[in-house]
Amino acid sequence: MTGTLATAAVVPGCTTDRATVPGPQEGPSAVPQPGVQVPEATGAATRFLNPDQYELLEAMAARLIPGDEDDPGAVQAGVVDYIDRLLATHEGYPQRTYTMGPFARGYEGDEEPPAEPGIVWVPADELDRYGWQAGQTPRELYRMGLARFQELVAARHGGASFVELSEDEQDALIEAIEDDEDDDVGEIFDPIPAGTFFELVHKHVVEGFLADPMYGGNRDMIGWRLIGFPGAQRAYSPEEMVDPDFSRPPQSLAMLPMLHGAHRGDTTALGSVRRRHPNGPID
Amino acid sequence: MIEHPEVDVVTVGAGWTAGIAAQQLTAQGLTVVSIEKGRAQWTWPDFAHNHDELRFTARHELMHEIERETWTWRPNDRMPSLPMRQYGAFHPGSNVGGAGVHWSAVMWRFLPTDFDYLSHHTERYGRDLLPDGHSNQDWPVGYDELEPHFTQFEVDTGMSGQTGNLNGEILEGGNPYEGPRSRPYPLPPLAPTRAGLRFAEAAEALGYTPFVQPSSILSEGYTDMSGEPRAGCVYCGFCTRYGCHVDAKSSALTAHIPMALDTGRYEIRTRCYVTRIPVDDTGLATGIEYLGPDGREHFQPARTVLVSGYTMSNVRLLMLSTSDAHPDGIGNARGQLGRNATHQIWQQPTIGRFDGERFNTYMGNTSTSHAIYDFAGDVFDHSGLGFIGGGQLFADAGERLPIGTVEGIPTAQGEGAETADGEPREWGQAFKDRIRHWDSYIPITMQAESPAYEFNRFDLDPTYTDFLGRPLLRITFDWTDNERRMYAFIAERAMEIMDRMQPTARVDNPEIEPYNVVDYQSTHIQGGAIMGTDPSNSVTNRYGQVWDAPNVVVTGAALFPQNPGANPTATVNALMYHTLEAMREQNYFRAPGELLS
Repeated sequence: MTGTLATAAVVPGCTTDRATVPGPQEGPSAVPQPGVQVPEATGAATRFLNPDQYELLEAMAARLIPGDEDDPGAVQAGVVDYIDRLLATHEGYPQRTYTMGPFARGYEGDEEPPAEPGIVWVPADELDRYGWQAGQTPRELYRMGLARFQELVAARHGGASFVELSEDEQDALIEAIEDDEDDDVGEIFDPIPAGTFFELVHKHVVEGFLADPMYGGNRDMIGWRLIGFPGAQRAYSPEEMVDPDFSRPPQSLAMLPMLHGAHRGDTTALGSVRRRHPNGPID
Repeated sequence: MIEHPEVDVVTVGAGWTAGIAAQQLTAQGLTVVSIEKGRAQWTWPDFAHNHDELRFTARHELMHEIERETWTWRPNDRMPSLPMRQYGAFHPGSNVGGAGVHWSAVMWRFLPTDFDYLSHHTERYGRDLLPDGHSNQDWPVGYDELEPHFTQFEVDTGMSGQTGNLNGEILEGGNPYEGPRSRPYPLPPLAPTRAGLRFAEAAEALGYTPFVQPSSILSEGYTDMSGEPRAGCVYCGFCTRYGCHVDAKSSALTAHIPMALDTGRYEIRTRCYVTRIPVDDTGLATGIEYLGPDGREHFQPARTVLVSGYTMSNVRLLMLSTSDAHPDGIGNARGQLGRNATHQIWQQPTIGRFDGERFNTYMGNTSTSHAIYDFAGDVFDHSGLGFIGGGQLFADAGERLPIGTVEGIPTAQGEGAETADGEPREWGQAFKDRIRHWDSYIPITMQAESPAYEFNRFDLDPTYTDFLGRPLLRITFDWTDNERRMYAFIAERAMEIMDRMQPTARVDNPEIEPYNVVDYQSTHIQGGAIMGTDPSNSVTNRYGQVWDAPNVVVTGAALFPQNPGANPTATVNALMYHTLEAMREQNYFRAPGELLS
């Protein structure tokens, strides 16, 4: 079985050891075929997030890219389903990641703390230059981060949960974890950096809003329609490059016609390629 | 250890220079094997259906496997080094064809003064303008000597551009500052973008000379050296970090590698990870050792070893190849290995937002945008400016894909909340309203040079290792005041151009961002195994042959003494052509030894 969306949905992030290149007779495998439907909303059938986590994450996403039926946003685009599916299928790294220790920890002031096994001390204000340095997997960051975020909400709002708060109150809490400067945020989130948790959620929400709909988000190409991106297209002409009024309805890679011929069995277009690669695939 | 039959040449990887060498050497009847860490891939079928930003741009599908082997970085030797855990500042490629598959294919020849760099600057300005601690030096090969090789490579693969200097005659519409060309570009330039034209109009009004960037992407159908016709660019916008689905973007896959395979004397072994270059008692290489996909150790004996991986992979492999003859690694007898590590400046001094206009920025590619070269290299007078070096400016508005480009759109006054650091928050209703202008902003990007310094270098990291437990390469690198002043000067020019373009909202970055490994800064890391005139100032001679082991030939940008502010591939490949010509003319393979200059 090749090219159904169920297969395609497993692809994000899983970038190593794909199947070897198929022979010319087989046609491409592991790429979506034309005419495949964009997936439906999965609603309650979550795979990684439990119902409470799903509800909290969806409420956060609703503030990150707000929307309603008339002007849809992250929730309408199904970004939480996208994230749930992503975390269910692999560790959820936003990209391939080197995971060997020791791990860095920031310190304030001029005095470097005493050496500790497994820790590399870095002045806190320099840490940003080194990029991602978290020792936890994204799955761990989601599990821990969502729980601690709810703790922060409860501590600041007398035991209330995030979904009960006003939009302004919700925004203030998200700002608090993005900035990660308040003492209570640091204490509650320790040992994970609240800013890293925010960054991860933010990155996944943007992906779920703007990645190809075959991955389960960007439902009805809501994100692409908002920004005016036509998605996967085979070609534009030089005239279209400079046309100030150009527009074209967006399409998913799953809707993109095959390049050579309509049928998988049609190998006529491969003739010249065969001539150029007499040895065939060499993997 | 599984030992294979001996071949004439074994190469590290199957990228641009390995492919060029394989094509030329097999045509002469020699046998070549490439040891490639990635997998096989071909235009058809692998690139036919790849218009997917998440997989290729966000997840770095075609890149080197950073999870197995990364690089550590520190700004200076007083700070700790940490691994680059995820991709950021640079993106080396993997798989057959190497980084030449996913490259942008912007194709500059370096300027004549980039080669006689030290003597040119000393003669024009005296020694005082050269920055403290610099270690710049002249290349052992000049522009005139490389010119026929630039030309041959351009004709062999196909290339698009507007000629600016034909045998000394300056022609309208091209780059007037380029070195003299012996023949025009094989194809006319790529189609321009709206944003590029907007930039060009403003730049021209200020007296500059804008032109569409030269490119290894075909603007029209072209029959390359393989005799097969290839299609011209279809401007689909999935270009950098993607293989081209119509074969318009030249790479080692488009002509050289298929031709080499056709001879039956070339073999590529994929999923094989090179670990070491073993040597004999005299210090000459005997071949390459590698870890095969079977999990076993292999030895490929060869008369000559081409060290043809990415810049830093090459330097690290030489360092890790220790022996009695080379106790500190091959080419390191005099502490030269790792010297003159450089990276380019690739930043956006100004970004303008033009409400109510759409520029179709998702079409085309980097090469389809206009650039100016009026502040590159030493084409402008540096007297009294307090820095050496220069850079190009271009409208950065082709092949825009959404996930990585919705942040950083200029914000008008009062449009939304700010973070504790004073940056606009990239979420909330204001963010959503801002990204409606996603196709309405134009950054002006600067690509600028990186002089060499004694304190910027590569060595082996004392703490972090690869998946086999061997030390990672450590980068010690930071900008200096020279680059801060260079950036500020050229950024001011960019902001003047933006003034003319009259944006609705804008963001200016008049000062250089501190060097970091997070923000993409081009994959043009160079140096570390530099070429020179003698063993006291370099690792290799002018042909890339390691001084103490002349059958070890280094290729690529590790050879560059310092880093001009332009994409390096044309020069990388011209140098390969140059070396192969010398090998052919001097019957090198009759008895591999040092080539005469």
